[in-house]
Amino acid sequence: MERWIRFFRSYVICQISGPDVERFLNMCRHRDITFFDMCREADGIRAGILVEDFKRIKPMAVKTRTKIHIKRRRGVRFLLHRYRRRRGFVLGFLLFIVILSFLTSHIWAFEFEGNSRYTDEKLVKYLVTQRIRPGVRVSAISGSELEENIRLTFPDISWVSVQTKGSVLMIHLEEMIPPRTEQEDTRVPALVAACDGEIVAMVTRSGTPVTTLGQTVAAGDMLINGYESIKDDNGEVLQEKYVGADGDIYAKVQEDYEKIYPAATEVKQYGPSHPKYTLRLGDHGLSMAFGLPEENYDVFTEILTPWPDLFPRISLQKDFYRAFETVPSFTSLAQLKAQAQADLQATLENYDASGIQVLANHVAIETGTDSVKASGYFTVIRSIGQPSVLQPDPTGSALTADE
Amino acid sequence: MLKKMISNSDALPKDISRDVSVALINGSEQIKVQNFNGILKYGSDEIVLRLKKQRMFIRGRTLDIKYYNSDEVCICGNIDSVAYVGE
Repeated sequence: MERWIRFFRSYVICQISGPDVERFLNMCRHRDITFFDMCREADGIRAGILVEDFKRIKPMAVKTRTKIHIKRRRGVRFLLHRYRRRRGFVLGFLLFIVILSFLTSHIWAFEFEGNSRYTDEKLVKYLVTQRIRPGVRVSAISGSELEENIRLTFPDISWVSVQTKGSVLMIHLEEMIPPRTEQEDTRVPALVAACDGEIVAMVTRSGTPVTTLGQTVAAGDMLINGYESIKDDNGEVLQEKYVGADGDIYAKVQEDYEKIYPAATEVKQYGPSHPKYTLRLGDHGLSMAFGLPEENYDVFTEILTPWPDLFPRISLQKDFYRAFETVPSFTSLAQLKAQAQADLQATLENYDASGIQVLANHVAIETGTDSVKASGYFTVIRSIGQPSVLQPDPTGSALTADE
Repeated sequence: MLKKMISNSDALPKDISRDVSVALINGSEQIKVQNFNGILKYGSDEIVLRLKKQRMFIRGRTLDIKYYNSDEVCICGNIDSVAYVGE
């Protein structure tokens, strides 16, 4: 500590030599001049002395014929003198200290942990109502008060902890598990056919099947009735009980396929791109653009958000405006045919990936004078049961409107 | 006589009441002396201080003065002996 004080006050290390050095030291001592870090050397005494004391030792040195040589200069005043032509650097350093201390004494970001039902945006809006927004002083936030207010405002939150870490306000919370509500009835009243087809497989898990294997059904026909009959020993129906329809029904279905590939098309020929930059700070933005096209253009947007958790959000949006011209394009029939074959193959692969078995492929690719056409149908086996929105007749296969 | 009575009592510290020098020795590496008149000799192996009625000889090796002001002197180094010699 003493060294720091000496540095701030500035001192010199000097060589004291002469015939009566001890007398010189005693005379200085009587005038309250302090020497420190004294060391006896071959040609005298090396000692440190403060600058203000150094200015007063001349009379004593003259009287005792003592010679004083300054060996080193240490301290703030010498440092400032050495860098007197570097004022900009010093000012910049001081400005850095000021800005750093300002930034660290304020809150600039919020972090939330443990929230699922309450989104970050909702919690930030609540903090704004409590006068806590980015830029607020750390000392202005009372953690315990905020915790209590959050608990009172959001009764679903069972535990809250508020702490500041640097310039980030961290809020940890735990939400209560909501009480179990009555489960909705997810039972389906009936399963109907989504399309025409011949039933090839049927598994009924719940309800009464209306169709049988090998039967051809049309779209909308009921397949499984959600009611089951309860019969007595004589086989008479006592009551119809609603159990919901559930099952897997697979049918042989014919699916049409048609695609036309014209040889003459129009394509967009893009010109150079013109950028437009928009700097956004929260809800405010500042844009800069040069030479944007006025018509026939497409916009490609790229948004950079380097600090997604910082509020207000800082982002840079880059919009590239590209003017285009529609020009005719001609593709060879051979290329179109190859495209048609590739699309057909992709369709078959999609069926395979979806678990749909393809029994037959009746799609033909025809080459015309100015186009290629792929048309035909696939015979596939797929699941055709879908829930019905109408209530079934408990005793039959008819569907009636909801009452 | 009054002065002798006060100095012999325990009301005031002896260095104030009897106006004597105070030496505080830390091991054999440091000695602080208060209430002295000046320095008579400063060498790397011997430092002589002038007290009120005596001289204080501090002998050793690589003796340095850490600070020297109107109140106190602090001598550091390898101290071999401290002797008081009357004038």
